[in-house]
Amino acid sequence: MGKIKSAIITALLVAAILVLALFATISIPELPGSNGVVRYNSFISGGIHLGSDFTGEAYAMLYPEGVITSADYYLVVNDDEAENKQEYIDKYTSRGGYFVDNEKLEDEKAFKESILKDAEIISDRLSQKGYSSYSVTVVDGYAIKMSVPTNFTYAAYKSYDNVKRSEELTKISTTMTVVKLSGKLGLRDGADFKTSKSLVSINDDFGSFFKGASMGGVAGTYFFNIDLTDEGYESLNEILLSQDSGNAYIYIGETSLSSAINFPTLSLGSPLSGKILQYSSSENFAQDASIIFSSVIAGNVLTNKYNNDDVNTTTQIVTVNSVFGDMAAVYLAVAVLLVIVAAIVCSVIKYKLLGLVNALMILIYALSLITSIMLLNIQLTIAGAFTAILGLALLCFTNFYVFETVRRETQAGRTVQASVKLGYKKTLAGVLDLHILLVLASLILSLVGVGELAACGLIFFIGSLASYILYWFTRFMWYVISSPVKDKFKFGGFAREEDDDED
Amino acid sequence: MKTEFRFSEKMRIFAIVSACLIFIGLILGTVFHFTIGGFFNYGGEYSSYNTITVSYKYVEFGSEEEVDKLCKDVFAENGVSSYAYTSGTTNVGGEIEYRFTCDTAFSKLNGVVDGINTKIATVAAETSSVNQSYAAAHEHKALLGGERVLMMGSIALATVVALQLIYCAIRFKLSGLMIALLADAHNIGIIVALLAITRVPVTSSLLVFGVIAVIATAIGTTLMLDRIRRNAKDNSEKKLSPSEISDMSARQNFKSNICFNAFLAIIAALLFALMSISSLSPIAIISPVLTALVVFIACGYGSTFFVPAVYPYLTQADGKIIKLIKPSQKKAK
Repeated sequence: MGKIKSAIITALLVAAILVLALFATISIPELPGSNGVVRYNSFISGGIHLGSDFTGEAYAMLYPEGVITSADYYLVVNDDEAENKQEYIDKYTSRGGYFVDNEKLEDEKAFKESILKDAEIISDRLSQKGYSSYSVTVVDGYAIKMSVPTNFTYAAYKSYDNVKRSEELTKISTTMTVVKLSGKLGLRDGADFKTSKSLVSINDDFGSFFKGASMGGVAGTYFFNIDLTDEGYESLNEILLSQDSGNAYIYIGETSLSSAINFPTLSLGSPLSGKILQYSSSENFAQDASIIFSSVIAGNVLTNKYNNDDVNTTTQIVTVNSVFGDMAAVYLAVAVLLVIVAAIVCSVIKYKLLGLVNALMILIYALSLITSIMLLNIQLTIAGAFTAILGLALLCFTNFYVFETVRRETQAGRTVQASVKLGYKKTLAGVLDLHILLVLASLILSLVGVGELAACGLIFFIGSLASYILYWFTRFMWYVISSPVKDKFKFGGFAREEDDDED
Repeated sequence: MKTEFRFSEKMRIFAIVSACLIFIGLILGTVFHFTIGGFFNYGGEYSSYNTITVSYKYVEFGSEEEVDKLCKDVFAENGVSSYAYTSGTTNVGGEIEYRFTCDTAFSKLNGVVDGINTKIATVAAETSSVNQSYAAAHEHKALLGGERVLMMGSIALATVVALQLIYCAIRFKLSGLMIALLADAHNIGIIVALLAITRVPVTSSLLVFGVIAVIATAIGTTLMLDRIRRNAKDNSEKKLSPSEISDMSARQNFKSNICFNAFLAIIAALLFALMSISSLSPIAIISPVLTALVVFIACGYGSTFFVPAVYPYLTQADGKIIKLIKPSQKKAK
C-alpha cells in the first residue's frame, strides 16, 4: 500500500474516532444559536441509564389500611385545636414507629402475617420488572417499603435533563401504583367502583376467564396480550353481548385499571375479535400490565389495601441519592479513563508504533460499547462497568497474545510480513474458539439471567464480539499504518534477528 | 545461575493453602450462619437493618443540612453512629433515613428519636404552631426477594459452567474437562471462603462476579491447556515428563496470567479508592468493588498457581498429557 493511501485511511479513521469521541463525551451546556436554552448532553451523560449505585433509588412506603405514621398521628394529637384529637387517641395504639388501628390489633398476628405475605407478592411482581436491583422490606411489621433504581441518566440525575428525569419518575410511579394493587380481577360497567355494578356473576371468578398475560415488542412498538381460556372467551363474549352499548371496565379489587393506569376498556355490545386480547402501548405500560395480570390470574392477590384510607391517600415517590455519593458516576468515568490511558501507554511502551494501532482499537472498543449501551438502553452498574472492562482486557490480551507470537516468529529469523501471517495463523484457533465460548456464555447470561446479570451478559456479548472483530481490524490497520514504514521491525518494537554471517 | 520455579513441586503447598482457606471459610461461614444469622454478610437489597427516619417540612427547616446537623448532634450525645444515610425530597419537604445495623439496640434508638423530636419541636415552635417534622425509629426486615432473579441467575451460571466444561472436554479431552472442573470448583470455593471470612457485604452483584470468575477461569484454563498442548507438540523429541511440560507452560503463561488478573484487580482497587472519596457511607463502598477484588485475587491465584501445580498429578498417571496432541499432529511432526 502506498504512502498516500495509508495516510488517507488512517486520517479518516482517526477523524471518525475523534468526532464520535467528542459526541460521546463532551456535553455543551448552551448550544450556540439556541439562546442558551438548549443543552447538548453527551452519550455518556445523557444517553446511558445508570443503576442505583450511581443515581440512587426511588422508594415508596405502603401503609395498609389502619396504619399511620407517627408524624401523621402527632400532627393531630399535638394540635389542641384539632377536632378529631380524641378520636385518634382512642383509635390508635403505638407499634414501632407507627400507630395501628385498634380494630386491626384484635388479631395482630394475622394482620402482620398478611402484610408479610403481601410484601412477598409485591417482591415477586417487582422481580419481573428486570431491575438491576430492588428491595422490599417490611418496616416494623406494619408497613412495606419498596425501593427501585431511578434509572436516571447522569444528566437526569443532576437535573440537567428534566424531561428524562420526569419520564423515569412517571414510569416508577406507574409501576409502584400497579404492583400495590390489591384484590381480584373484576369487570364493571363504570369507572367508579361505588356507582358501577359488576358485570360478572357473583359465583364466577373473572380471573379464571384468563390463561395468562404476556408482553412483546417489535421494532420499538410494544404490546401486551391477555389470553382467554375457551370457557372464558365464551363467558366474556356473553357478558359483552348482553349489553347494548357502553364500556366494560377491568378492575383489580376496587381500583379501575382504566383510571389507575389508563388501561383500555372493553366495548359492550360488540363481540371479542379473538381469544387473545392484544393492546399496543409503551414498553413500561405493557410490562406493568402483563405483570399485574399474570400475578392476579395466578392467584397472587394482596390481602390488604395500601395507601387507600383517609390519612394515606397517595403513594409518594421519594428519590434518594446514591450511597456512593453524588460524584460516583464521575469517579467511575475517571477510573475507566485511567484504565484506557494505562492500557494505551502500556501498549505503546511495549510495542512502539504497533502499540498505537492497539490504542486505536481500544478507543474503537470504548466508543462502540458506549454507543451500544446507549442504543440498547442497558442500565450500567458497577458490575456492568467491570464487565465492560473485562471485554477491554480480553481485547488487549488477544492483541498482545498475537503480538507476542509474531515477536517469537521474528526472533526465529522470519520477516515481519511472514511472521504476521504465521502469528495470526497460529493464534487463530485459540482466539476464535475462546471468543465463540465467551460469546455463547454471554448470550446465555443475557437470555437466561434477569436484571443486572442480563445487562452484564449483554455488555459482555457486545464486548467479546467487538474484541473478535477488532482482532482482525488490528491486522488490517497494522498493514495499513506500517505499509509506508521502512523498518517494520522497529514499527512493532521487535528486535531484528542478528545475522551470524556478519560476525 | 537462574533457577526456574517448578509449580508441580509445590503442589502440596498450594493444595494445603487452598484446602485450609476453603475449610476455614466454610467453618467460619457456618458459625456466622448460626450466630449472626448469615453464612455471608448479606448487604444491599438482602440486608435487614434499623433506621431512624426524619421527615421534615420546608416551613420548619430550610435545608437538609440543618436537619442533618441537628440529628448528628443527638447521635453524638447518645453515642450512636449510623453506617449509611440516604436523603430524599418531596414537594413540601424531605426525608432523611439513617441506617443502623440490626445489632444496635432499639431502645437506644428510641432514646435518640426522643432527643431528636425534642430538638425539632424547639426549632419548629419558632415557625409553626403545630410541629410538622417528626423522627421515628423503624425496624426493616428484608425479604430475600427476587427469588426469580436468584433462580434465573443460578441457572445462567450453571449453564455457563456447563458450556465451559463441554468446550474443554471437546477441545482438550478428559484431562481438559477434569482441569476445568477443578479450576471452577477451586476458584469458586476460594471466592465463597474469602467472602465468608472477610464479611464483604454480598449483594445481587455477586452473581455477576461469579460469572465473571467462571469466564476468567475459562480464559486462564484454555490458555494454559493450549500452551501445554503446544509445548508437548514442540518438545515431543525431548521426552519431557508431564510435570516438566506443565511447569514450562505455567512459567510461560505466568506473566500474562498475572497481568490479566492483576489488571482487573487493580481496576477494582482503583474504583475502591475513587469511590471511597465520594461515598456517603463507608460500608457501602466495600460491597461490589471489594467483591470484584476478592474474585480477581481468587482467579489470579487459582489460574496462576494452583491449577498448573495440580494439573500434572491429574494426568501424568496414564500419560494423558501427551494425548492432548492429536494423532494427526504427531504424525506430521
